Amino acid sequence: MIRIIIKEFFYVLTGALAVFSLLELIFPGIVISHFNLNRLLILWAADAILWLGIKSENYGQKKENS
Amino acid sequence: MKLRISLWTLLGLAVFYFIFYAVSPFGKTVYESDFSSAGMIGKLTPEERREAGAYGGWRMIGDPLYFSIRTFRGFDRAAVELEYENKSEKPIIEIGVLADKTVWRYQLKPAENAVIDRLASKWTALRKGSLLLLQKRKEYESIDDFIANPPELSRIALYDTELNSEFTIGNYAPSASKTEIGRPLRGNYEFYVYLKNEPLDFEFSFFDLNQNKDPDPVEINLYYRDQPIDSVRVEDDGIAEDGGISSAPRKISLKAASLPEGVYKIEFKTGNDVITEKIISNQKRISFRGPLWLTEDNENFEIRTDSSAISVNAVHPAGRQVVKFGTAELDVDETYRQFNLSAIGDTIGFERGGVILSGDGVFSFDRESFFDPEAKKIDSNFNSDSVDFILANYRSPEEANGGFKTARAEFELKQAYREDGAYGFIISAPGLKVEDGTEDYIIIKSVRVEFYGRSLWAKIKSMIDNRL
Repeated sequence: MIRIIIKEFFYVLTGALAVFSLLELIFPGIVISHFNLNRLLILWAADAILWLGIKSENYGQKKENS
Repeated sequence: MKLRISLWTLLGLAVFYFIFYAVSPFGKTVYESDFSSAGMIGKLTPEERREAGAYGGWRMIGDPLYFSIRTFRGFDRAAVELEYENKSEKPIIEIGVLADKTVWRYQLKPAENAVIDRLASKWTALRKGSLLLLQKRKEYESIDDFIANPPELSRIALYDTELNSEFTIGNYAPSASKTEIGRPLRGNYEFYVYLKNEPLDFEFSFFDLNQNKDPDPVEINLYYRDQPIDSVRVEDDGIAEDGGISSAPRKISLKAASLPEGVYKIEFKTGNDVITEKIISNQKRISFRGPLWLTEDNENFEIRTDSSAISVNAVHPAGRQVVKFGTAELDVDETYRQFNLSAIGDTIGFERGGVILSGDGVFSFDRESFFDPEAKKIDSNFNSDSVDFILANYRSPEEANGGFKTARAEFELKQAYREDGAYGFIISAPGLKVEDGTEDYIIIKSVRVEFYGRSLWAKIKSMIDNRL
């Protein structure tokens, strides 16, 4: 369950970063006037690390099983 | 699957909100900031005039402070709310929006005027909307009555309002000879001229120092009752170098006939590279409003004024001198520092130019041409003994929590200057200085700005109407 949540959050945060960056490029200030994109980037990176951690754990388990 | 739909819906809503906020389809948007970080409302600048407050907010330690507000579209009107605490002795705090970048003119509105607040409790006060009339002795029953039958201008002080009372000079007769002002002036300036049964005729001789690369067109605007009625313009000399090679002298004339009797204002608008060498006119009554940049070529001269307080800033090493104002003396011993003097006198004596002069009255270069058509203004040097009435467009700030006050000012933005999508704002507290060594300051806690403009529907409708 946690794995799914982390994965879904990773996808949506990646999408958010892409869309918000594009919006900022077209209309400078439209997003950063509301919140700091750096925090979103940190959240995305933390989520990505967690997901990578879970994936590597699964990969290790699969290797052991085989 | 539900989680995925929820998260992507949230992202979609966020994008919609950002776009909705930027477009402001209903024609209204609100920005708020405590100036802690730069968002749509920029930081307070310059840094040397502010300090971080002990419990949040910023301490304004020098006048003025600036901030900008970036908007994604233009608006017609802005209502600014400033939350602050005045920990200084300075009685006046004003908020303004940049109206003209060439001359750095701000449209200023009152935030707090302690002089009016103090007199409102002593004099008879009448209020109509935001207009406030204070009478030393009650002579008028209503503000309408006062506006319809105003007393002599010399008995009135105005604050952020105009009175439709015509200034006239008794026994005035046009001059048969020309008036020549031969004191070189640098950059922008403006002056009043009085006309009666005579054509307006001015000739300005000027040249471009070419010390910077910016073009320096000259624009001369003529105003009557604060409305522009005529304008002439000459383009830059065409030298786009900053080599300091002065252009050849040039001339520009402003002429107008059949003008009604009254006071006219002339604005000479240009860059700081332009020196006006000479002004020749048929008119004999000419008085300048400060600031006046008197170039270093001026030597041993006097200026007539009715100011009670003057400021002198030496912008050239030659400008360091002892300035005489009435019987008082002002030792201007440092460049690029504003020196102030309050004194009783009608003449300011300079050894040399190289200074920027300003004051709370008007200035003229000879006694015969002096006249002051302005009603007295309420500033930090205001003397309530000199007037019997005060008419002000002013509301006192409201008390907020923790000793703070909230002041509100409204601005028309159609005349405001907007660059790169940003409006420029100013917070001014005249007399508040960093270098005076006193521990006085104003805590700026936050600002809230409501912008009002056309709705998206109104804009689409006007576009359709224009096409048809």
